[in-house]
Amino acid sequence: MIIKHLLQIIFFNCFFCMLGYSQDTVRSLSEVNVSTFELLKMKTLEITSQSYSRNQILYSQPEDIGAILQKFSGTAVKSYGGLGGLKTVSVRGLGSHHTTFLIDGFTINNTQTGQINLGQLQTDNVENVTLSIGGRNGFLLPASSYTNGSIVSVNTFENNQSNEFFKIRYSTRIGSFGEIDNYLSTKISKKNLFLSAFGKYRQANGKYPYLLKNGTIDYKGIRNNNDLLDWYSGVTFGKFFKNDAELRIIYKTNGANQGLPGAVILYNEMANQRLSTQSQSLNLDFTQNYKKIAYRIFGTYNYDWLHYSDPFYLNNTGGISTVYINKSTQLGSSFQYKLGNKSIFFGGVESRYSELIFSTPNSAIPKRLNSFGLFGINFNREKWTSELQITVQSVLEENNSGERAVNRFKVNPFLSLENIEFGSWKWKFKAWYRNSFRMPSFNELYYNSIGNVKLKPEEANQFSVGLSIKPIDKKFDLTVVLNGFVNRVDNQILAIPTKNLFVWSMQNIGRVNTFGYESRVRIEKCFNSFWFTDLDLNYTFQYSVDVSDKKSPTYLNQVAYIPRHTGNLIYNLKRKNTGFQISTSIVSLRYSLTENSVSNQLNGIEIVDLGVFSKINFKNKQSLRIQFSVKNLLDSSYSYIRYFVMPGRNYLLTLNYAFN
Amino acid sequence: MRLINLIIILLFIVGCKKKITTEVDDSKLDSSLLKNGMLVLCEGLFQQNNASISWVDFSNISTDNLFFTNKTGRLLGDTGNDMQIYGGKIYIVVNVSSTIEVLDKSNGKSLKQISMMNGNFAKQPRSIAFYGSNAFVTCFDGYVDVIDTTSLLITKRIKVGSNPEGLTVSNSKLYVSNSGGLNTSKVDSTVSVINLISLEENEKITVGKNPGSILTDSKGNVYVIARGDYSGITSRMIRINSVSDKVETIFPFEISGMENMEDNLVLIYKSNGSSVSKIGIFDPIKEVFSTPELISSTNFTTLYGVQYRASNNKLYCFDAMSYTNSGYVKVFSSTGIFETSYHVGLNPSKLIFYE
Repeated sequence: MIIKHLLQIIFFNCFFCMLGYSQDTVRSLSEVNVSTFELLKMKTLEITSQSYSRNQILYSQPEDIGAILQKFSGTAVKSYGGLGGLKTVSVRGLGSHHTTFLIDGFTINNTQTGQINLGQLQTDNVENVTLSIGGRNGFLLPASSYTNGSIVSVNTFENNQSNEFFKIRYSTRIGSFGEIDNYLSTKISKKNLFLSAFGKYRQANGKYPYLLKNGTIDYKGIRNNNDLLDWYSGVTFGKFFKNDAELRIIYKTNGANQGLPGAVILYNEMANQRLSTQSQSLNLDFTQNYKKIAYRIFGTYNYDWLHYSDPFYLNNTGGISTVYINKSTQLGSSFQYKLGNKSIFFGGVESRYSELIFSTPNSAIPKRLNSFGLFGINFNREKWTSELQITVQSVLEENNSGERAVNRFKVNPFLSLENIEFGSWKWKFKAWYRNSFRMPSFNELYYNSIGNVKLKPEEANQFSVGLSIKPIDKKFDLTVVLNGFVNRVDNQILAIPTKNLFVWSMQNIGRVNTFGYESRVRIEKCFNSFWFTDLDLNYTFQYSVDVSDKKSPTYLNQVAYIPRHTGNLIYNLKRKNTGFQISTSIVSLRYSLTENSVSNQLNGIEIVDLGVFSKINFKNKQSLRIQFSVKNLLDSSYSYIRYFVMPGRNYLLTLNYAFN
Repeated sequence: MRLINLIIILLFIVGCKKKITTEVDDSKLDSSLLKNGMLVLCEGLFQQNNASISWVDFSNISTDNLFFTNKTGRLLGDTGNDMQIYGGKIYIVVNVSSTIEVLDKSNGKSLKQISMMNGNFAKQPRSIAFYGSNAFVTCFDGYVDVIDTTSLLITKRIKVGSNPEGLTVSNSKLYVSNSGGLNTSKVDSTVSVINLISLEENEKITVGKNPGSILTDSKGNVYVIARGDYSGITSRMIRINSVSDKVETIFPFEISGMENMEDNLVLIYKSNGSSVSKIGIFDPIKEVFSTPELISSTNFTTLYGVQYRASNNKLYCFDAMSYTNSGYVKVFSSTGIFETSYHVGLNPSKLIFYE
């Protein structure tokens, strides 16, 4: 096994060395030219990507990245409630494991769970968030980020050099249910370097009231064991060199201690489970841009410590207290090479080594070497742009304590065709196809009796066609985007009871087909130098159904927790530095199990949020912004997951101070 | 114009958003007498609060899967584990909600909800049995609770083994299977014997790993299923002599369910080398299967249990439909011929018949 690992590393590193030689060759060519960084950068593909800017974040004051993704079309967020609570996103009917998360160009991953808790990705330092489905939306991204169905890319304030020597960002929030946040970040920028340091502290008691329908009875309760205390901090250092080269070193650490309230159980309010986490990460990368070629070398080390406890679990040892340590090391390189004037060749290699240690005796000790290769070419012609990507992925598994999962080797293609904008309405079309898969997580494979080492990877095929229109009109700016898509997922991985109701196991469950469409409209109007207004509307339809077995009672039934209809409306009105935002999210009824029976239905969701804000600019480039937000204005009782009730109307007061 | 259309679509969705129809009209809370039918306890799924009781009316072949809610105006709770009838009352044990619902046998109306909380601590009741004026309830916290069937108050807690599950009465003694099921690799292996006069534990009998279902046959012998560890150690049926309180026989086949059928036992088991369960009739005196395969597993998606109805000599089998779909009660003659089925709630597991 070790020999196989070495061969694997040698293979990918040979390619890496070859790439190094090619860079040297091209470097000599670049000396006579200025940097072509911008030319090589892939422009945003608006048909297949959606963004949320810093200003939009300030207007809506989302509690985390999940609340932003919920505003996008094509997404379905699952939230287990409360600040910091587990929150995941499904894009176009694919499970949450099919989405890659990038922060400042580095993938964040959790091999233990296979998914990212969006509830722990806060927005205080976020400059923009972009969801890309079926296209690249970044420069020299890690090869692994191309292997999934969609990419969420987050850029932070601390990650970039600024024009000012010294910058400060400070924000404080006071909200319902004992929420207190404080965030402080400073950044020093000089001609050839920048250094930033930041920290955030957040706490909440999470004791929110809820209303539950129990038959004919309205039950009013208070969410128990929902407290949260978390923090994160970090330092980023950037150094610029000749020939448009940059070195970045990022260190981050975060931790949390929170109660896990669980589902509301009728007649039993006991909730004692707790979760503590501590993580540290070190990211390094070096990027260089020449006229013809740009390349990036990067490395990441992650250490995640997680402690789960349930002191009232009815076993002989007086409860559960388990520690999980998940370590991963990542090394990779990516490049882009300009072929003539119209085409770009790009690619990358990456290896990620992960291991998980359970503190419970006789548990599995899984290790995984996951290697990625990417080769892509982007053809730009007079009227059309096309792109081909081939990703190669190998997964080598080890388990030092028991049976291991099967090693995997996969080749996945991506193909897209897009026209150049034309006509006075700036018509643009794009069609694309992606084949991808996701490996089962360590938990799915090895977790005590639930894990199943026989699991196959979940396979996904996506096909999409879309168009965007931007009619030129002097009165207002209008953008309309329409997308239709067909997805198929095979070997879907789900936890289901097997031996009896209390013995669950992870299983591959047949096939899911999704047919859907998205529509997005954005209107902006600047009345004069004082007044500005904009409106965003989106709607998504997803017919996501089980097609595993024609004889099954769930054949052609909507898959659990995938809503058939979702929609968002966001309206902003601003006069100079004062304004308000009103937004609403609508999610149609869903089913808690895939059998579409009345007893499995969950009511639809309608949430209206309101925010009013004002910003005062002081002398010396200082500003103070104050916002009062009312979340869930209509005090709706709702839940994304059955009996994981969400808070009713709640309030938030935010102060943002900025220097420079 | 396109924009207007989109707004109209959004408004239409809001307008068309369906409201769930689980609310029950007070006028449906009826107190009519129950007859010629059966109550079906449907366990539901963990953390979904969807345990339920279905009423199947044999006279007009109708099924009411909201029986409990229609009778009480509220939901049954999370994970119904047992339902028994005794002295004009129906007792329903709801595990995760930690309650025992007591209904009037004649009309299904609620008499009392007994909370099985110990302060803020859930005792997690599992099964119920009766003797004299007491009901005995196994609680996953390691006790058997004694409930006075008149006052419906808990009068005593008897310490037993780890995570007790099933219980049965024989020879003036209560036999309690201690599964230890929440201890993963270190499960319990014992059956506690409780003196029903003193209400104290006499002894523990070692029977095999993870004992669960337990019953008393027509001769007073006690049978218990030791479920093993679901992997290397397979399940076994064990016979305990209720006079000597010794293990008499360990039967050499895998088994998941058992039920009395006159002087025989109906077993859900796997014959040697087979990976598929079937229903057979076992003669406990001769210790052989009189009918090795009465009903084939091909009749079920997920065979989850069987119950015998003496009054019509038929077998009522539970199909849990992969545990995540609403289930069926399938009726077979005593010779194994399929007769009819009833579509009920999620994970049916217990029946009470009304003649």
